[in-house]
Amino acid sequence: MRILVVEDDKKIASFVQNGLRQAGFAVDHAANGDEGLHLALTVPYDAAVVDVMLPIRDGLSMIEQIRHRKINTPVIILSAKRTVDERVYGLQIGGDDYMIKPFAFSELLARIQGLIRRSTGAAESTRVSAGNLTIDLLKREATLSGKVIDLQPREFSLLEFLMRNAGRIVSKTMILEHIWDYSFDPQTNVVDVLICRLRSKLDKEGVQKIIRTVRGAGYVLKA
Amino acid sequence: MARGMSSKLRKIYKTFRFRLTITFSLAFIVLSLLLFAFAYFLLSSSLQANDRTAVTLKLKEYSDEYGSGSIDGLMRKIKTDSGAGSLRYFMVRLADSQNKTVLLQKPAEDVSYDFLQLERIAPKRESWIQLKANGEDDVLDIASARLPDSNLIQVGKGPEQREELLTHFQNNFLEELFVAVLLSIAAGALLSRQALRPVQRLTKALGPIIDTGQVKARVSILSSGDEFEELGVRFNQAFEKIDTLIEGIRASMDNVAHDLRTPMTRLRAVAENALQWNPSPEAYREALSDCLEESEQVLRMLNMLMDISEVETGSVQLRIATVNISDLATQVIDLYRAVAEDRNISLTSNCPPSLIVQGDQARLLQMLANLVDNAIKYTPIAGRVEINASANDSSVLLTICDSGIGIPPEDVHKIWDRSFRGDKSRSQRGLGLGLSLVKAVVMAHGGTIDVTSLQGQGTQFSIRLPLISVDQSRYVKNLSKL
Repeated sequence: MRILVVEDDKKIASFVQNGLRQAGFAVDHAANGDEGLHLALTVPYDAAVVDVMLPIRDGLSMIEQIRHRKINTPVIILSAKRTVDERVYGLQIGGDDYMIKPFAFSELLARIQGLIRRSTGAAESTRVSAGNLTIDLLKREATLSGKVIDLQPREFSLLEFLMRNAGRIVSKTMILEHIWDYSFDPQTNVVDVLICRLRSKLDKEGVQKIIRTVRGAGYVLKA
Repeated sequence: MARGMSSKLRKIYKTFRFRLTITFSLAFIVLSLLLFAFAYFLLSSSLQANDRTAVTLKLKEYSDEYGSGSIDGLMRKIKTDSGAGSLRYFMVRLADSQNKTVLLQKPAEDVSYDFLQLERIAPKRESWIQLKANGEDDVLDIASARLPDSNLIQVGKGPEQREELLTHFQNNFLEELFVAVLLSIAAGALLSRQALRPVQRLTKALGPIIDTGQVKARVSILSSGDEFEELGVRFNQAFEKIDTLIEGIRASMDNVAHDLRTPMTRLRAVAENALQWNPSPEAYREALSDCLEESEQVLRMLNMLMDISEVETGSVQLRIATVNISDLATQVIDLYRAVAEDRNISLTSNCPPSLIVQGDQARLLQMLANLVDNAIKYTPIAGRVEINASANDSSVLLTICDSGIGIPPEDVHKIWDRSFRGDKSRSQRGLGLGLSLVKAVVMAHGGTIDVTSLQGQGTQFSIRLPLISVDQSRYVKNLSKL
């Protein structure tokens, strides 16, 4: 898997490159929009991470160009601006996802993996398992070694989301957006509360410490 | 040098004051000339009428003197009159029945008339004969009368006398006009100076404000009750508004700085502390996690403050669409269900399914979520939080009430301040910014928000949103009230 990173800030670029290499990706880096466009047009990438504010050619224009040439590499836009309008514009011209700086690397990684999974069209399985824990997406039912665990709908959605991303850190922002479709910061941490309830239910059934808290980053479900 | 001069002149010409003066003077001159023309015409026609009366009187006098054929008496009379100078401008002619001149007394002026012509003009009763002078414009006005012996007597008068008068009038008038024009320019200058003084005062007052940004300065206002007073008042109102806005921005910058300083200080302290000693890898890991958490906190605060200022200043357009209040309530309850259950708080909504408003779905959701968050936070365990909605003809009333600790009466008006956090809640989590955002969102939607609170019994927030669409003008108007 090869990923293109177009980012002019050296520190951010090397931080993203190192992280992606550790996660097992091959990474190419471009420091400006023209260089990025040239690479995107000549090398087949599995995904691209593109900053908006770039020298020579801005990121949005670069994305517009590669879409114009019918290249469908999934693209994540990075931006320091968080207005809804810009987000919408970025997605309209051909971006597949949008992340606001500062971002957690774990979230960037999860989103890249999600995009690659979707673009390679891997068939969605109706059953997901982790250890002896299995969820059935059709029946919306979680079972531990065949025994059904009683979960409320939101608890089930959370477990499903964590299991689909098993082994990867998911941030609170991702959970809020995925479970409640809520993109603001609720002042009380509703995510913590739901995680807490899910944990205690799983604990009661004997699945101990399967959901781990990564302080300052989010949660991860042990694979 | 010459160019400098001409550009200076052009500059003067461009001033409103100069143009006002010139306009005033020109208007004065035109009016004076019109008045002169009218007076001249009036005077000249009245003088002519006067002359004709004099001629008629003279004719009557001489006819009577002549009586029935006494030419000697008439000649004597003419001689006396002429001697006394009262015939200076007059002509007297006596003719026989064949209109042959018998006696002719010419006017004393040197204008020459061809009196022989009169022998060829048959006089009519009650009509005036006009005899033109040789080579000049002067005209002799002649009246005729038939004497009892069928002789003819004619008396005429030239225009010389009245022309003298008119010339005199003209010369006098021109002299006065010259003085009047000078005076009118002076008066115009004075008048425009007077008229523009309030404008100059405004300009003068604006100068330092714009140069130094000191919006505290005000225009001094004379209570003249005129338009300029109003303009001054308006200017001061504008400054007042700018002043409040700047104060607001300054205050919120202070709050931001303060709110950000705290997590930044902690961040710094944790990092510094970890670097000072030689801790174990676990301690390093702990310190780094602390740093991450603190930076997360800084980011959350920044986002909230940006949210508020974006909504308040209207820098982000609301994405107006139809929003179902009941759906909104369901969504918020779904978000907070677990939190409420954890604290054994009953969180319910009672909203008719058909209530629709025009608004920004995401922002309204955020607003309602903040209010519910707030209500749950201040409601003790086993309490209750309710969302209710109802509608009248023009608006939707949305209430969020709790059985919480309530707000002390002296603090009720302070809750919208960005920096305010009730003393008891200092230990609670939260940024104290949520309610400012709530208010900003409601205002941006053209709505109103009220709060009633009984200490120890609970708090109720009432929001009124217009049922009709939120058009751009109201959006702007309400933003300006913030």
